[in-house]
Amino acid sequence: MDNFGFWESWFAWRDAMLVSLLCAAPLAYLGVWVVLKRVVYVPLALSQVSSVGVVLAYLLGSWLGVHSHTAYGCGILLDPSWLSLFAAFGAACWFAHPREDSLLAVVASYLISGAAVLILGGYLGQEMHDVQSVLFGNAVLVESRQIAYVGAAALLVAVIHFLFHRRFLFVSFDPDAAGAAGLRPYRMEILLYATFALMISVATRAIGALPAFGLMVLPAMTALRLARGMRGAFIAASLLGLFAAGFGYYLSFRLGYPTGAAMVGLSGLAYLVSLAVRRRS
Amino acid sequence: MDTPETLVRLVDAAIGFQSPLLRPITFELRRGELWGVVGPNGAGKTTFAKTILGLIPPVSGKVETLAKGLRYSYCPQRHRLNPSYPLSALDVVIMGRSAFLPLGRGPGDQDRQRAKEELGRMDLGAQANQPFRSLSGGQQQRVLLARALAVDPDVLVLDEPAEGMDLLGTSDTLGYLRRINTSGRMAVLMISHHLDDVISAVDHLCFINQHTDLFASGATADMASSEKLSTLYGRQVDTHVCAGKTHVHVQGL
Repeated sequence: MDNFGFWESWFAWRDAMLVSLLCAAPLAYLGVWVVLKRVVYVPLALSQVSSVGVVLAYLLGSWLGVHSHTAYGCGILLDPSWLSLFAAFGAACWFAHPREDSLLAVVASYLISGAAVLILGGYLGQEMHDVQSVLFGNAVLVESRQIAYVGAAALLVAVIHFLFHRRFLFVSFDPDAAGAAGLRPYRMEILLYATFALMISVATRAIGALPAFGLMVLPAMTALRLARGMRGAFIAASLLGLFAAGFGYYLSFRLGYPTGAAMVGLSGLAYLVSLAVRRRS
Repeated sequence: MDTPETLVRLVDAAIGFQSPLLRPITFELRRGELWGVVGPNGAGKTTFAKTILGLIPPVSGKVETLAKGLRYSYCPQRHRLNPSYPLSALDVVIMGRSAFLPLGRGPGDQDRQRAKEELGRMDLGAQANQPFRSLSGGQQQRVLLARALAVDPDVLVLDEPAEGMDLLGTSDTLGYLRRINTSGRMAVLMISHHLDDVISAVDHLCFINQHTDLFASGATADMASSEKLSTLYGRQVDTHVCAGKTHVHVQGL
């Protein structure tokens, strides 16, 4: 397909591109916190735990005879998006609690959730195909409501980080001094982790697990190698995320690569290039 | 002479995390006092300091704050911090003041000016824009001290403030703490293993050793005796005064 064809068929990729970009910037921004706090396994585990919520939503819907897409009232709670968010928020609260074996808790959650998805999924039968598409998203085919979900999540994350940025920084860098100054480190950590949970959960459903995790971690790692200050790292990570999502989508359209893999591949390439550049002190 | 205002009081407080480290203790921290907290490694000094700050609740008993709107500040040991954050020395000092700003508001000119003043006092004015992680250990510790002081605290708790500092850095830092404390506006509690220096700098000493269930506190002149220090450390510790300064050494060295 030539370049003219890409722009001519904008109506085919507009929504998917929009969702990818809406996911990429906040994921990469949050990734700076994830990398600095050395909790890169947390988004993986949150994504897996939120998958349990999706499977549960389908199971409960099946047992109660309520289809999530047509449900109203209390039945709306059986929407996979809501249940997956509840599950991810619960895990975020648990991960945010300071403990010596926090890495083990995250790894255990990842493994147990993965097993739970497979075991519970066995009860779904034919519906498991639908669940797979919800669990792992698709950066090419995007439902219009995904745009609303991702846009709302990105806006909420932006507002929370605008309000609490300095407190997150103090608590992350030096929790004891922040606590002495009157901040509540655990509550701040829960709020920060909740933004991870929200964005990774929504993004996994929208663009897939691999690009959601890749866009969170790789641009942040690159930005932290190249940027001098915190502000520079956040800006660079967000721009790199946008570039990887946008240009990755373009390459996938032109060259027929899998979309998520193209986005992650570009992010990885940027990181490899940054390794050749002397790290800023 | 008026009794200094009591800021914080531990009343029959069993300090510890889930289980008490020591028998219940009673302790008062008054404005204008400069305390040194000494004891062997793992004695419970940091737990005691964090109980005063309200970071760790006592297992039993209570911590009373006797003045309204007290501002606490804590200067940790630098090696407890994550060094990967790309922050300048000035960023770290301003961070302390940002805790008191309204949500969503960044530091203003006044905050920056105050942070620069404290960095200047720590002889780090020229390093204000240098990355914190590129500074030497002693310089990092002074940046953390500047951060603790830049919030104009009522209660200042320092955990090994002279860690990693050279001879002059240690002397200057302790001298500075002593000078600012003569204004009587804050209470300072300082954990230290540098007995010679801390005894010279502080007016009160607090001994802690959870291994022997020892907690004792009082004026430095009363506490810094060979007998009491020997009891604290479980070895013969000798003291002698030279040029007005108390020196401590352990027998057998």
